[in-house]
Amino acid sequence: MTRFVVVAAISLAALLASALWWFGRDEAPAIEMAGLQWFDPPVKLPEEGLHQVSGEAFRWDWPQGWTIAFFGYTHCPDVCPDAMAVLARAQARLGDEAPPHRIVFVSVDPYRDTPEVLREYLAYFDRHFVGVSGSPEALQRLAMVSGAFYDYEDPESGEVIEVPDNAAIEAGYIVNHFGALVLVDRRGRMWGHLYLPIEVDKVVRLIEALP
Amino acid sequence: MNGENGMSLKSLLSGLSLGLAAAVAWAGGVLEIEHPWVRESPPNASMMAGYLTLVNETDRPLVLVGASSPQFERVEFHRSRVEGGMARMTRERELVVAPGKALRLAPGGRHLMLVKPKRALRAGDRVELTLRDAEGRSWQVVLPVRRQAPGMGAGHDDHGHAH
Repeated sequence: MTRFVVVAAISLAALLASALWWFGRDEAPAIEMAGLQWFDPPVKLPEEGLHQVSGEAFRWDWPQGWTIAFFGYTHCPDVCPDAMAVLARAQARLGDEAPPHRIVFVSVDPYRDTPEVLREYLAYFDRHFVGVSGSPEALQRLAMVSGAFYDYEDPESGEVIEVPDNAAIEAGYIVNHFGALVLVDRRGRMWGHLYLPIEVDKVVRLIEALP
Repeated sequence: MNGENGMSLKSLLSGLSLGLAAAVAWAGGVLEIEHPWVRESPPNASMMAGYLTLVNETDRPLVLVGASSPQFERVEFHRSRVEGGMARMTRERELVVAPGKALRLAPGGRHLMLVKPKRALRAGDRVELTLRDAEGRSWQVVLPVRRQAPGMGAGHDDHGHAH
């Protein structure tokens, strides 16, 4: 009987400890900086219909660490390469001691960003960056939940294009996309947004503070 | 007679402005161009962005209405901005530089949109660009292709800031 109580107490303590460890590690990082917005409670992000450039289904939960996602498109000449270059330089600056994390580029332009295009684009910045896209429906669902909205625009008229066709591709349509990094914990829950502009220092500080 | 001479001098200068050296001499006192560069793009990019600072050295507004480069299908003026949490980009028909002022084209803001390079450009290559204003004047500028903005080298990032 005594032995049972001891075993039970030890099991309970172990359970509590792992629960504390688990939940403790999933708290929002204790850091504040300009442009950083936290959500409480966090929001579970949808992933149905999203895929990686490898063709595998993409999952937001990633047990090794946090996910830092940028929503853009590869035909973007200014904002996207600037942000990706900042993220790549931050990776180079972070040492091996940095909390494990992954950088994900979600293309909201599946009409032009084939897996091949996306893979080559990301490899230019950092071969570890994860390329993700999905069906228009999957990307819309994700936008509704994450707040990472986007639309397509005719560069001549400024009008919204619902579904880009070949003529729109020829004209080089613009994609208006989310202007923030999306911060997601190990369990696939979005905790925050870090709005552009971002600098290497800022990204390094954020990643170093990840729980 | 004097008028005719004036005309031919002007034509001569217009013709010469196709050459860089002449453009520099001719542009003196009107438009000063600083910090030109083009961001190297990932392979197979259909668009690249160019940046520079335009300084209007006259006492009248300078209105740039067009740009072109033999290395690209076309060149447009674009402006990115983050507004209401969205990164938006719009095409601008002209760039207006106020008298005596500078207009900065820089990442995350106004830029030259270089559409469809005729061949891939890498860091170290040079982009030849012609800018035209509303009065029919033109300027040539050479923009070096770089991986990142001047003054943003790896050395700066690695050692430029104390932690």
